[in-house]
Amino acid sequence: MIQTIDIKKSYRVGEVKVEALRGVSLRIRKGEFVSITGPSGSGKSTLMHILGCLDRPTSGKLFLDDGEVGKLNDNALAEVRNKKIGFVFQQFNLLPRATALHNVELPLIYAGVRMRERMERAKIALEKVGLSHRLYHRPNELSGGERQRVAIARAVVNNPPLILADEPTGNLDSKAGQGIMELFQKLHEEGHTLIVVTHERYVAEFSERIIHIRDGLLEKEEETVNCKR
Amino acid sequence: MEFMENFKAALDGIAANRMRSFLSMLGIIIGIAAVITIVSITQGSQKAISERIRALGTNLINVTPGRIRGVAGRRAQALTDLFTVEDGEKILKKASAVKLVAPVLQKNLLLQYKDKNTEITVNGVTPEYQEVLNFWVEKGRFIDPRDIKFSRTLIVLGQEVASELFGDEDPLGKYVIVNTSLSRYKFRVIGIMEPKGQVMFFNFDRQAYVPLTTAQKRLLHTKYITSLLIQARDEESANEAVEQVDAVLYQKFQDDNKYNIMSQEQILSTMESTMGIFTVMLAGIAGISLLVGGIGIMNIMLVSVTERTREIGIRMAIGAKRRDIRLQFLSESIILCLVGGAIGIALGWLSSSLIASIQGWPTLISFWAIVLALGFSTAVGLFFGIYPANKASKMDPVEALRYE
Repeated sequence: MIQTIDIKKSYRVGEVKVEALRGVSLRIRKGEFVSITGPSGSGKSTLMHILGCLDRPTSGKLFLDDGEVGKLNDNALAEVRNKKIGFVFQQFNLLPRATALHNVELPLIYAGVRMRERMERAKIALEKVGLSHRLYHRPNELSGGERQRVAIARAVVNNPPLILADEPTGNLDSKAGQGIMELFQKLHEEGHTLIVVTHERYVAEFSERIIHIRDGLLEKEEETVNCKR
Repeated sequence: MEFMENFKAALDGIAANRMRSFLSMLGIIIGIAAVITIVSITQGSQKAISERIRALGTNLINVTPGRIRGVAGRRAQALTDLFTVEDGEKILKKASAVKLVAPVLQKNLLLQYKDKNTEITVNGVTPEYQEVLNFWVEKGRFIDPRDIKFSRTLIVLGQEVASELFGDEDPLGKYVIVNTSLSRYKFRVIGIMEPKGQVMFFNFDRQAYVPLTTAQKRLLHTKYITSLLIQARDEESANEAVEQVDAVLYQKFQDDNKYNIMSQEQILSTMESTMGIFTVMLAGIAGISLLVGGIGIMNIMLVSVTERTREIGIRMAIGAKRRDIRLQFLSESIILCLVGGAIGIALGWLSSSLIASIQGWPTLISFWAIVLALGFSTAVGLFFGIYPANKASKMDPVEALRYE
C-alpha cells in the first residue's frame, strides 16, 4: 500500500547542499510490519518524514493507499496525516498540559468528530493499550512506558491504515521497551501496517522485514523469522 | 476544528501562564479603563451643564451692547449708553416670535445693613423679569407695575445676599442702604428670591432687584439700560426670534457691531460642540495607550508561539491544518484583549464612580461606550494577533518537531 519511486530529498544548510536521500524506491504491502534501520545520518529519519507526509520529496513519487501524495498541498497533507497515518515518536510528543484522554482525543478533534463519540473512541483506544486506569492523568504523572502507550493510543484512535514509529523505545528502559514492542506486535496482528525506524537490532527483529538505509540509498533488505511468507 | 474546541484550546493556552497573560492584558485594561473614565466623566458633566442651561429655557435671548468675543471672559457689562426701554417695546411690537421682553439696568453697588455690607449687582427690572428667566420670588413679593409707575425704593434680595446681610433675621420689611458713587438711599426689602445657584458665569443668588424706573431715575440718573432679556414664544421659534430682533436693532443702529444677540440655544450648542471635541481629544490620547497595549500583546504572542513550537509541530503531525493553528493563536490574542477590555470597563466604571463621589461630578456610562470599548479591544486583539498567528501557522512541521 505504500510505494516510493526514486525518492530524492536535498536541502540547504547555509551554503552547503545536503543530499539526505539519493533515490530510494521501496514497496510495503498492506498489513506488513517493516522496520527501517541505518546509521546516524543515513537518511532514515528523512525517509520517515516523507513516508509520514510531514515533508515533501524534492523529486520522485510517493503512493499511499494507491493515491499519489507527493505533490499534495499543505491542507491535503494534513488530512492524510490525520486520517491515514498514526505517529509515534521517540520523545512521546504529548501535550504536557492535557490529560491522557485529551491527548488521545486530539486527532479526532481535528477530524471534526463530536464530543460524545470522541470521548468514547478515545477511551476505547486507551483501553486497547491497557491504560483505562490512567485516563485523567497528565503526562508528568505517567511513567515513560505509559506515556508511549498514550502516544500509541493517539496514533490508532482514528483507525489509520499506517502506523509510523520513530525510535519508539529510544527513551525507555529495556523492560518498558519490550512492552511497547509487544504492543506493536499486537497491533500488527489486528491488521495495521507498521513501519518502525530504529537503530537497535533487537527492535528491528520484531518486524517481518528490515530495510537497511545507508548514505541516502537503500542498501539491502532482509527478512526476519517473523516473516509470514 | 470545531469552534468550541478552538476556544477551549485558546483558553488553555492563556491559562498555561497566568501571570504572563495577566501582565500582557494590563496594557489593554489600563487603556480601556482610562478611556471609559474620561468619557463617562465628560459625558456626565456635559449632561449636567446642559440641563442647567436648559433649565433657564432655550428660548432665552440675551441682547447686550458691543461685541462679545466667545462665551468665556464676560462679567458684568460696563454701562454703555445704547439701549433704551423703548427699543425693548419696539422689539415686542415688531417681532412676532418674541413673547416677552425684560429690560435690565445693572450696576455693582454696595449694600448695607447695620454693620454688614456687601458689594453685589443691583438690577433695575420690570415684572416680566421673573417669567423670562424662570426665576421666582420665594418669600414676600417681586416688583410689580405700580412699583414701576411710582419709582418706589423697594428691593428684592437674592438668597446669598439676604443671608450675608441679615443672617438668621427675617429681612422682609427692613431697610437696607444702597450706596452709589453720588449718594446713599434707603430701600425697603419686599421679597427674597428662590435659591438657584450659578449657571455659567451668572450667580443667581448674588443679585438684588429694584424697579427699573427707580434705578434709572434715582440711583443712576440715566435713561439707558444695560441689556434686554428676551423670551421667544417657544424653543422652536428661538432662531426666528433672534433674526427678528436682529432686524429691528439693525434698523435702528445700522451697525451690527454695536450690539450682540446671544441665544441660550447658541450657548448650549457651542458648549456641547466644545465639550464634544474635548472628549474626543482626551479619548484619543487614552486610546494611544490601547495601541501600546496591543503592541505588548503582539510581543507576548510572538514569545508564546516560539515557546510552543514543539506543540505546534505535534498538532500538525496529527492533522492540524495551517488555518487551525492560525485560528488557535488568533483566538488567544482576541480572548486576552476581550477579557482585558471587560476588566478595563469594570475598572473604568469603578474609578469614574470614585472620582464622581469625591469631586461631586456626575458620571454617565452609556451603553454605546461599552460596546465601542469592547469592539475596540477585539479589533486590537485581531490586528495585533494576526502576525504571531500567521507565524505559527507557517511553521515547518519537521523543524517544529525537532525544536528543543
